[in-house]
Amino acid sequence: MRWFRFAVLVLVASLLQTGLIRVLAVPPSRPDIRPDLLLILLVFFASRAKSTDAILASFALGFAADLSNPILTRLMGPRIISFGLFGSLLSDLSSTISPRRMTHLALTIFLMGSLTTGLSYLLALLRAETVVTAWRTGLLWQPLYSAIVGPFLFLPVGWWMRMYGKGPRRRRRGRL
Amino acid sequence: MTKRRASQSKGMLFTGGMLVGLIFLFLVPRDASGRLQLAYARVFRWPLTLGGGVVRVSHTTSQARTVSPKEHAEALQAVQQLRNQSANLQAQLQEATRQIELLTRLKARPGLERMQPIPAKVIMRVQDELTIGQGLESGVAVGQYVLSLTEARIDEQSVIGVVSAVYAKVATVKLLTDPTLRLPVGLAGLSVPKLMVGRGDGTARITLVPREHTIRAGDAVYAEKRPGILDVPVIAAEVVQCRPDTKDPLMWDISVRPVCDLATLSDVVVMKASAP
Repeated sequence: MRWFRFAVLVLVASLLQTGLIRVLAVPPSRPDIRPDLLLILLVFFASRAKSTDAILASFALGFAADLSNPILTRLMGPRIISFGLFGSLLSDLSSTISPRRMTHLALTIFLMGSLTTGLSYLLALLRAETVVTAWRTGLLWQPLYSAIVGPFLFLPVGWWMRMYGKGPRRRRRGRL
Repeated sequence: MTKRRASQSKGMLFTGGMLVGLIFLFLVPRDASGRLQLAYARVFRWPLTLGGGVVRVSHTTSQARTVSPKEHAEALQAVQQLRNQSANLQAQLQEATRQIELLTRLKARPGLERMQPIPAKVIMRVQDELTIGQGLESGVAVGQYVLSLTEARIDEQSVIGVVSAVYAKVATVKLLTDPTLRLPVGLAGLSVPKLMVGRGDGTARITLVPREHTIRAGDAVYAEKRPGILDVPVIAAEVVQCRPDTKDPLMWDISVRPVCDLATLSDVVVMKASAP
């Protein structure tokens, strides 16, 4: 994998995620409902990169998410673990089922968003007495928004990473 | 063999990543994590601020996320209460300052130096009687004169009535226009005080003034000085009409009205004689 391109991509995504993506907030009065670019990248790399690259990329994306868009300020780790865990899981599953259609990609992004956010909240609860956040937003609206936007970003991200279609390690045992 | 090595490599990568995550979650102090996040925000301040002030947003978000909605609501309520209390205290301070200024100016008037003014708010007005917010505890007593206290017309202080009943914290004041109040008053050119009696219609009358005295509309009527109650005559009313008494044609029937607008009066001062 082209790691330099990956680093630039993650950096740009995290900056966009933290700042510029607010313009995409729906409705504008709810800046918390916006697509999660790092989640979309997680699904992209987990489903298209080699398994070792995918695992590394998942943890790196989790680190970037904890740094730029944490579940709880002054706390890092929940997203590293949740992104790493579910990214690795998706990477393993991608060897048998590989989402390629837009709807399947959208469904995968939605499920990954809900799972990573749910686990992040639970992990954050281990360190903080209260983790106050809009559960419905984190578990439903944001993953849904990401699922709608995400599949359309796969093409430009694939172009940038020079990763078109499935990765070289994929065995064509089945398609979802 | 290669497959097993790859699997080991994957396992090690995954374990390493999880360890890093767990270390960050449980071992790294939250302050250190916070500094790292802050460093990120500081380094990329320029692109972040392009999107609408992310540092500010993240700051706001952090506050919103570290307290529960209930705590947030309670904090907002407490802030509102403090604001209200502060505003009330400021209003009270302004009011106290205003009253001190008024009373200082009032006491500086010739003849009132020895009087001890007790400022009071008008609580209620029923016909020709006022209820004021000072009573026995403040030194108010029956028979004391009550003057108007108007900021704009401090030099035009006038007697408006007499304390008729006193309770612990309140007192009632009979106004000049009360038919049951008989107040000794003086008129320009008269050497002997006369009695002014209220009519109950917003005016009062003075009788038993011989027609040999010239009385004109607009003449001032003074509450006479009374030892221990009022050291100097103070204006109370003005003549509005003067005509021959129908019962005794040799006398004037003088109609007067208070110089102070009793309807809009909100502050008064009870004049208490200072202890010798």
